[in-house]
Amino acid sequence: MSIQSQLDRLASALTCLRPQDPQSRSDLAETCRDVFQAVKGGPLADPLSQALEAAQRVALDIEQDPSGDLALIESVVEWALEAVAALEHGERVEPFGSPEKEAEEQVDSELLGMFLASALDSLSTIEEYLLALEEDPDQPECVTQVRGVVHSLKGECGVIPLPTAQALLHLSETALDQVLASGKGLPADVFFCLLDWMKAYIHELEQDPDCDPPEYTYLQENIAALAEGRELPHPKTCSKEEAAPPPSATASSSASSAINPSERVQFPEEVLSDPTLAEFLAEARGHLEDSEAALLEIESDPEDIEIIDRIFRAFHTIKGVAGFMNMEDMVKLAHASEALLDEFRKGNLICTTEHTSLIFAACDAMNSMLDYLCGEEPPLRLSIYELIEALELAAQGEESAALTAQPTPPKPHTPASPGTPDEGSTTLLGQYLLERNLITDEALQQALQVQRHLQKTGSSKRLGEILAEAELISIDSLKAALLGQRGASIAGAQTFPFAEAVIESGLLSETEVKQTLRSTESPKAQRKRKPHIEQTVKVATRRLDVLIDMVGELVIAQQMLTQDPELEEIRSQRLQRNLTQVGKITRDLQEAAMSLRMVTLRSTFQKMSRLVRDVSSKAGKLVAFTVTGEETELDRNVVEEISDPLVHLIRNAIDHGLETPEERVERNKDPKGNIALNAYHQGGSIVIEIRDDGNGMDRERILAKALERGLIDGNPDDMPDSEVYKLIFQPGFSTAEKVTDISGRGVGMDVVRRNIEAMRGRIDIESHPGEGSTFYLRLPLTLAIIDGMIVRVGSHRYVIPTLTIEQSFRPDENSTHRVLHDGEMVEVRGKLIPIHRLRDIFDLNEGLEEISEGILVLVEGAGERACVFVDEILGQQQVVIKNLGKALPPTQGISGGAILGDGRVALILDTDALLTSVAATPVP
Amino acid sequence: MNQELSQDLITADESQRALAGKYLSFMLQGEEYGVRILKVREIIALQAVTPLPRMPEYVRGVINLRGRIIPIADLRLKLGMQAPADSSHTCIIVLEVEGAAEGEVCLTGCVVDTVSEVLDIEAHQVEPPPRFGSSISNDYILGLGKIAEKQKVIALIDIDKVLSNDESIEQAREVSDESTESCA
Repeated sequence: MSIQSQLDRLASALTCLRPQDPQSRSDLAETCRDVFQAVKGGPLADPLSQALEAAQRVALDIEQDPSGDLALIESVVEWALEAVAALEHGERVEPFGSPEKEAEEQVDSELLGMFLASALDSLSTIEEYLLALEEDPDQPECVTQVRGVVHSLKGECGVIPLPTAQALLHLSETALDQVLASGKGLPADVFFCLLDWMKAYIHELEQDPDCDPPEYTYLQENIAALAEGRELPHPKTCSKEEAAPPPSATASSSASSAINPSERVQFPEEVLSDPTLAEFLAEARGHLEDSEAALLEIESDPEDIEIIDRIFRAFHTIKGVAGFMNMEDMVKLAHASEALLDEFRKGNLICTTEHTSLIFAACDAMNSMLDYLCGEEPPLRLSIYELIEALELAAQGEESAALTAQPTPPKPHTPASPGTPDEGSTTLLGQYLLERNLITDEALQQALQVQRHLQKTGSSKRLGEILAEAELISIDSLKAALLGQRGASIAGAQTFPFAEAVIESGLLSETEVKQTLRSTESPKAQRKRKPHIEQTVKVATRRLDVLIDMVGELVIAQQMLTQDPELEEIRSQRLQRNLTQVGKITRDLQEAAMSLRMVTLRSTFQKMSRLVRDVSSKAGKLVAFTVTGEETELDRNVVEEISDPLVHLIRNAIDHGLETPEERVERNKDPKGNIALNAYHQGGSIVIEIRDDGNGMDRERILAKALERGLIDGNPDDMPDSEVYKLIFQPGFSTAEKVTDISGRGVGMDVVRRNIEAMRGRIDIESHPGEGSTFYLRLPLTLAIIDGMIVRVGSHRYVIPTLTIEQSFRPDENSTHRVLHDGEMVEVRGKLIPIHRLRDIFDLNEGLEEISEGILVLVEGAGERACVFVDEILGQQQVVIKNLGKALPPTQGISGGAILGDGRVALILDTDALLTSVAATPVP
Repeated sequence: MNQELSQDLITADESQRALAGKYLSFMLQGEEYGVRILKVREIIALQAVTPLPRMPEYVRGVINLRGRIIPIADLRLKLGMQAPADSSHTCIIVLEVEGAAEGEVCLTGCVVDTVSEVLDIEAHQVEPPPRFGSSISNDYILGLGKIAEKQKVIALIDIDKVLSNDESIEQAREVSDESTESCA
């Protein structure tokens, strides 16, 4: 059989494969093996055999597990067929796998963005399961879950494509299967390591989508070993210290000497604006609180590995997130603490009070860094690094050295003046006692020897206890010293003297004071946190809507009650007062309910940043995009609706508004164009502003185009600019000479106008030739409530949305004109405006006939202005918009109903539809 | 009796059995009609209705039903009868009607002369709709219920069809669709 037919055979085996059928799978594996053997012995062994061998391996995998990488075999076969054909024609053959490399370079940015966002979620899910597994390894369902997440992550990596990550994840999947099959515990370290690697890779990809994956051989080897059930070849690299990329012991030790004593911790700017910051803060605080509690437990039972594990995990998590957010100092500190804790975990060291104080100090330093993130004074960098060094020394088992000798550079503080601002650094008890001349150096050495001896025999005692037992120091001064030590290292100046006084007066024991100190400390810290971290509950929107509906009903019922005519006859002050009170509470309740639906514009604006990046590179323009007011809150529905119009406006701003960099330079502008997106409140509505500093709009060009398309007629010279600019919202209107894939068809602006108007918002344009244009989108805060003017025609009442009303006035007889028999016009500030009588539009058989007796309301709709003639204006109030029941078709000119104070329904006018319908059907 | 019952079981076909159940009966112009009790949400007194412009005549308008706005249809006009002036007996039956979308339920009020009673109609009491040219389309009638002990026959009406299968509403819908398209 020729190679060609062999390959064909393989291809048909592939198409016939039924993945769920083991027989079918083993058939495939057999065919694969046969083909491989045949090719190996054949004339084309050299270029083909390697790829086919890979295919065969995968086929064998698939035989065991149907979820294997079938695509690989398919691509091998495809490639091999091509290669054979190419070789027949005497062409060169690219080795298999090279197209994959190419693919990695052309990562689709759109897909990648989505992948990155979801991948982090998947990773944290895996992390959660791993942590749960570490606590109780006997949970096979957890392993299955991890496997599921890893599998889907692998799938996503394959789509992007990120072959390296895909391969690693595939390998991990096999490893997890192996773990499940063997029934052994899961070596979580390996997978934590994988997680760290993935996170690092994702982080890099965010910066640069074309970056190469980080170093992964050790990881690959470890996972591969796991998959094959071998011993880990790099057990050491699995532990986080070495695997975690940035913090290295040597780097940080040398670092502290290079630090300026007054330098303070600084995190990158992006950190402070990161939307996940609040979440991180809440999480980190929680972890720290947890570890502090655990530390207190440890003091009473130093050998409880489980408690140490708890602290370890807390620090590990903080480290992970901090690393992700680029908070280098925090990562280093967490890493050093972790390293020390790991020594306890491994049993190399026993946790002593000195150690716990060190870790306490680390917690406090972390807290102070978190405070800094909340807007407080950043902690001193030096103090952090000193702490890191102390932690590292301790981890190297040199706790005695750290105790006796001063840990490297001399500390600037003395405990005698505890006010010096160096919280976060710590003083060891021995050192503290020495400094205060409470014990001699010899006594200390002696005590330390005792302690070390005790440690070797497996028990442990605190230095203070040893000293006291040996009567080297009085109990009182020891207590004071302990307190002083803690005061200096943790609580700071204020609490120290008082606590010392308490202890010295013998009112309380040292431990009691310690605990009190801790407890007084935490509420203080909590008070500080409150404004920054908000607890959240996820609620289904459906439930929210029910609540808001019910509140709406309550408002109506309350209004009906207070406006009840029978109540007005009762002259009771108490009743009035109570009714007012109910009214007030109802309004508050309504406001609170409405605020539940409010969400910030942040995510919408973030999408826009992304859009600017993509569009500007496509259009070949340089754009500096600034966003302000993204914390402005809007009704959820409005936020959802606003996205499309913004996309169109921003695309237009980039494509039409901004000039190319060359043109900009010619016009003495910065080659980089500016586009600013801004949101703010203005008079009960929200304004979103899109500003560019490009060309500005060309009045003449718009007018010429509009004349050409017959959108306007007559002399356009006296048309105000704002109206000229609004012509661009006409459907199909485009001044662009050529249609690009970004814009130019004239569809976008029409969509913008319609979407905005559907939300009862409006658009205004301001533009200056050569200086740029600004689009103002005015939107209601919510879709459920509008401000309305209640008008009456005969016995009917209607609500006209205030937003559409320009003015209302009582016409005088001389200013109204009758033209062409029935067209009525009124002169408003020198302009003739048509009058529409509501009683005629709605065929009502009541209402005033004489114009001068009623009121004209000047409204704007569908780009036109018109006066609506009504009998009188009853008042203005906020009304809840209700639809008129789905059983009925939409009524033209009516956008919905509102329930008024007397419980009856008034119809809300849709001025747009009203004016268009009037224009469409001329009055007979 | 037993014999009658067993015979009934034989003759009553599937559709008749499906029609058995409780019905709310009401009067329209001296004739008695019934709707399935499961369709009825509540019965309310006639109240002030806000008329809707540009609607077929039988659509009286909308009312506020505890904060919800529901449309009110006059069943007498809808079924081609004369509507007498409202009396103290005139009331509104609020019904759950299938909406345009699948599985959607919307409330609609129907004005009737009076509400009479709730009847339990068994399968053997159901007769297929008559085949004579009545003014009311046979599509609206599910069947006839014979109440022997009261010596009366009530027409069981399919309220979903009555209120949704409507040419005039369809037309209005088309017109408004067209106009929205022409706006676009």
